Amino acid sequence: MDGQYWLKYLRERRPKYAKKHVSTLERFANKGKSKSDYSQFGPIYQIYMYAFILGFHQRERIPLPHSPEERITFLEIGKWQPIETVNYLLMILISHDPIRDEIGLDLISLEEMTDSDVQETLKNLINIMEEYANAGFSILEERFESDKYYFQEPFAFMRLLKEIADGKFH
Amino acid sequence: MASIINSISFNNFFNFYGDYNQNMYEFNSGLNVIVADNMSGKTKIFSAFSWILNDEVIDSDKEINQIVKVENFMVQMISDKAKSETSLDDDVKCGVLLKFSDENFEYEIEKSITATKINDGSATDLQNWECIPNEVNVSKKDLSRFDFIPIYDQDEKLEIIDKVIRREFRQYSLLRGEAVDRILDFSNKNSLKAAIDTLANISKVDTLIKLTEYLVNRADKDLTNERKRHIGDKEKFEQKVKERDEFRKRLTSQEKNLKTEQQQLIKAKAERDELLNLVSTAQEREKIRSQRSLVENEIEEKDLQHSELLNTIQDHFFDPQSAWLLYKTGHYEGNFNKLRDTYIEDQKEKRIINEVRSGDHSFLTKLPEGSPDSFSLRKMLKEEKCFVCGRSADEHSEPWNHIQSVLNAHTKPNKLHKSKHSFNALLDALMRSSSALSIQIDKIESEVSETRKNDVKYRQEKKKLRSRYDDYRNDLLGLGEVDGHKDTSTINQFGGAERRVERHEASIKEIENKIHDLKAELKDKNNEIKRLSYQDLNIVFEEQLSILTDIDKMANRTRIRLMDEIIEKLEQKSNEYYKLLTESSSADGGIIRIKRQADEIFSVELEDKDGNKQYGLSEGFQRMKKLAVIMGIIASKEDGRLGYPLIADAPLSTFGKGLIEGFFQQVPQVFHQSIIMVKDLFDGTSDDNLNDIGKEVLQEIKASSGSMHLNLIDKGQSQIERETSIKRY
Repeated sequence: MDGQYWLKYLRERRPKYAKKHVSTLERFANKGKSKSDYSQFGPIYQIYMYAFILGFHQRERIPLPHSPEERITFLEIGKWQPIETVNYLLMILISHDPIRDEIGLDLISLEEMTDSDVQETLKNLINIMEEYANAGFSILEERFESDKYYFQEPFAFMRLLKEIADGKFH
Repeated sequence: MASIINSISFNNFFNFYGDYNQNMYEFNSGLNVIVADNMSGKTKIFSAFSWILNDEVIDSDKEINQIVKVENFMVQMISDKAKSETSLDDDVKCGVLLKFSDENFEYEIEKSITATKINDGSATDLQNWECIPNEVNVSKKDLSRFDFIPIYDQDEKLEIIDKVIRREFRQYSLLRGEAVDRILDFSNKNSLKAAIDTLANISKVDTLIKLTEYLVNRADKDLTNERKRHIGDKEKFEQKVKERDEFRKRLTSQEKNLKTEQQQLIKAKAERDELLNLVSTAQEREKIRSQRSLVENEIEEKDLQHSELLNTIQDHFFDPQSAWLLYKTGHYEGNFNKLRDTYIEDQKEKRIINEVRSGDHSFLTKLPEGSPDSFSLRKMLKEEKCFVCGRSADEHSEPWNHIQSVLNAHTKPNKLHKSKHSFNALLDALMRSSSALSIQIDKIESEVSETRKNDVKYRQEKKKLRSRYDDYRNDLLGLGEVDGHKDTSTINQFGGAERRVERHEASIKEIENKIHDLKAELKDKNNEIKRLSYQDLNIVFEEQLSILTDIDKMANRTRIRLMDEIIEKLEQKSNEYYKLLTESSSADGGIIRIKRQADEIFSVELEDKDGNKQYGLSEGFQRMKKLAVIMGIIASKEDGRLGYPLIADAPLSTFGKGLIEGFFQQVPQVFHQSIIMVKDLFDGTSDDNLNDIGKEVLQEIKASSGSMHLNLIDKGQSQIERETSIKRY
């Protein structure tokens, strides 16, 4: 199978999030609804990507609940927009050494493995993405709980991202 | 023959519950003041005088106080408390008793009504009462005797009532605040003339003028008849007389038109001048409103721009042109490229091993020693510069393409090893995306900072605009904010008055020219008639007409001279009072000028010492001006004091402190007795319920002959229980 195939395979994955974060998603993802008191992103995948990047910068992962009832599967990655940003996030995941080491993502070795082995590795990559996003949602909730008005400020999302990316979040 | 009001008392009249003995005000000559807060009975006392003198009372329950006939207001005049204590079929009496005296007699006038409760139910419901006015009781007592004698003759009763204040003087003697404006409405031709006529008997001269006019007409007719008798060509003569009379008629008509136009011009000028005081403020307000509206639009625009900025902040996270989401992730691109290079190297190595194993050595092509590595080559492509020679290599230029071919030769295997899987296309796709965003990622921090600055800028600009908006709002409040439509209406009215002034001035000029021409033609006609007459015409007729014409002219000139003298004296007196009335005020109120605008039309204006018209003076000054002229009119009489009392209800509501002081000092100089009902001396927080001016006035009264009363009312009580109590200082 060539790279196009595996790229397609990755794009067909439908990431999951913990059901307990639904209210956070609804609060911060506009999904085309009317304006709320809070700063908002558009579709769910945007707040999802944002949560992922928070978790990733913070190097914090929280596994999703095991029970399928406590998890929600949503839109496949291939339909997320913009494609440049989605690819960039995949690139970050793939190029991060600890992740590769953890899931055994050695491309040259994978060349000779079975389809199911490669699939398993790539699924693990997406699982890691889900865990980072899950941690990201917790960070968002933690901030919201500590200050209900925090996200009413238009620059709140950037402030939080900067705080975390600059290593000032504790 | 001055009359003095000794007392007024009330029986169940409005809030004055109880009989006459319980509700009495006793007065002396000089200044008598009744101090009362709002709703404490001032207007009711005025109503009592008004009932006695004019059979009218004031309906103060209306938004604008209205004068109503007593016969239409009887139930409402009765104390609610007294009404509530009256049982079905029982009567309650309501009345006013006034005692006054002149040099020879003491008089009592009582006007009253009796109300019978005819239905059960609310005491204040008009339907439950039947009212009848009682006979007016008037009695008089010779000062040298002890007993009052009742008067039964209706005419004598009226005569005695007239002695309190004579009918023609009541408008100057019985004043209610704003009524001063109506007494002397200077835009009304008859207002000042009527005042002068009332006080100066100029009507005697008018009678003389009427007589001389009649005699001149008569002499003219006699002369014409005499000429007719001597004429040869009677037909021609009659034709000429007819023509002349036609001219006379036209002249009279034009003179009448001229007077009308002059009168209308004065009215238009007065309206324009009055509006001029308002229009400058209205224009100023309109200007401010227009500036405020511009600021409002600016705020709206800034709000829109700011909202747009804020609403698109989240978009910056995902817009590839901004990519804020990827803040501080730029270094992963390097990691990724290394990963990809390693993968390709590994693939090559793997291929070499495989090909060595298969005996093929053609793969052994490699870059010369010292050549840049693939990472540096990519950086050179990205930065469009050759690091080897240091020259620039613009994208797709020859040097750039060369670097690309070197990189390809170095990184792309010529012949792919056949493995189960390959990830090159996956890595290539990700690499393309990352290169597209990598330049932008370096700019995120500065872009965020710039956006933040813009946000702060908008906030500051909006704050400034709002502050300007508040300034305009305060300016408007300072100028007495009114409905914008009202100002537009004032400006339009002013424009209308100005146009009317111009139109009447043009008409007057036109009529004056016509009159001039008609007079010339009339003279010609008279000469023609004269030429047709025989020379031996009896000269007596001509002399008679000439003498009577001269007398008529003299009478008219006398009238003008007399009026001018009166006006001069009135102006002088008015200014004396105006100065005294306004001297305690810090503002310069100017000088009163009474000017003859036309034959019998005068205007009263305020000018500064250089003769310039003064605008923008407060309503207090405008009212003082009128009050001063009223005082001037009264003082222009021989004794300088009016022989009747002044009864005034709160005429000071628009006066400032200085003007109030002036008022109380000057009123006793003109009126031998004044009864002033006033709120402006009341201070509920003071021990004696008087403010500083009130205390001063009380001291002056104590030092002279007047009186001061205080009305007190328990406002905590319901209306039906409420009664006014009277305290004498």
